[in-house]
Amino acid sequence: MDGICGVRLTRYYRASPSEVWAALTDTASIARWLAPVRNVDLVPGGGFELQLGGGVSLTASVRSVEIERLLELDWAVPGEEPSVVRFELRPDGNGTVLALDHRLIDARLGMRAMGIWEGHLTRLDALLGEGETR
Amino acid sequence: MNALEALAEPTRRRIVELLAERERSAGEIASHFRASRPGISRHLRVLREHGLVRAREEGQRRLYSLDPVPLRELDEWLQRYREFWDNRLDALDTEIRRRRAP
Repeated sequence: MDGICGVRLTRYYRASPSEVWAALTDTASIARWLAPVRNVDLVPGGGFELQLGGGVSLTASVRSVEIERLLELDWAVPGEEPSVVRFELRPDGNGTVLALDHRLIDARLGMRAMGIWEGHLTRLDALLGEGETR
Repeated sequence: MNALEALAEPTRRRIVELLAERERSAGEIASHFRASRPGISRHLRVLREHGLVRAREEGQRRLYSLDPVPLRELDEWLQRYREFWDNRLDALDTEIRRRRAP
């Protein structure tokens, strides 16, 4: 595995990949599940703008898109180093598994990928926790 | 350079992994690398300066171990993003159901 600092979450939805994809990418839907949005155009070179709280707007630019399967976005807040958000769908029985990866390139400090990944941190945490009880 | 940037360097990251297993002496750490012993000592100094690693003397040896505080801070920082997406993915479930409703 490459050194990646970020978060990865997976969810199972009781819906087909096409239903999940529609909710994930439809403009009105994005506004409800993610944040107020405008200029949605999910093709390479396109993207959308999100209005986050406090008057901050975020620009998402499409890096890669495969209908009902994959959406990878450059995730940029002004003044911060962009990070990458990736949604991946796969059918699973009667539903769909969504894997979300947010590869964080330290947005606070404008640094490059720093190479600690979540599982590794969890392992470190467990080890460090044991150390403390000695 | 801050603590997070100190960890961006692959050798230092590997040292942190070795120390996550257990406390080790500088010589023991150096034996895992092709880099020179002074090179490893420099990396250890950087890690100490950033509060990632601490050292204690035992007889002739200096033993290095992880200082958990900065790693906790890093994990807390990641936790904010985890919570953000956790909430958003719940909202996506609600949205999927809403689109289905007649």
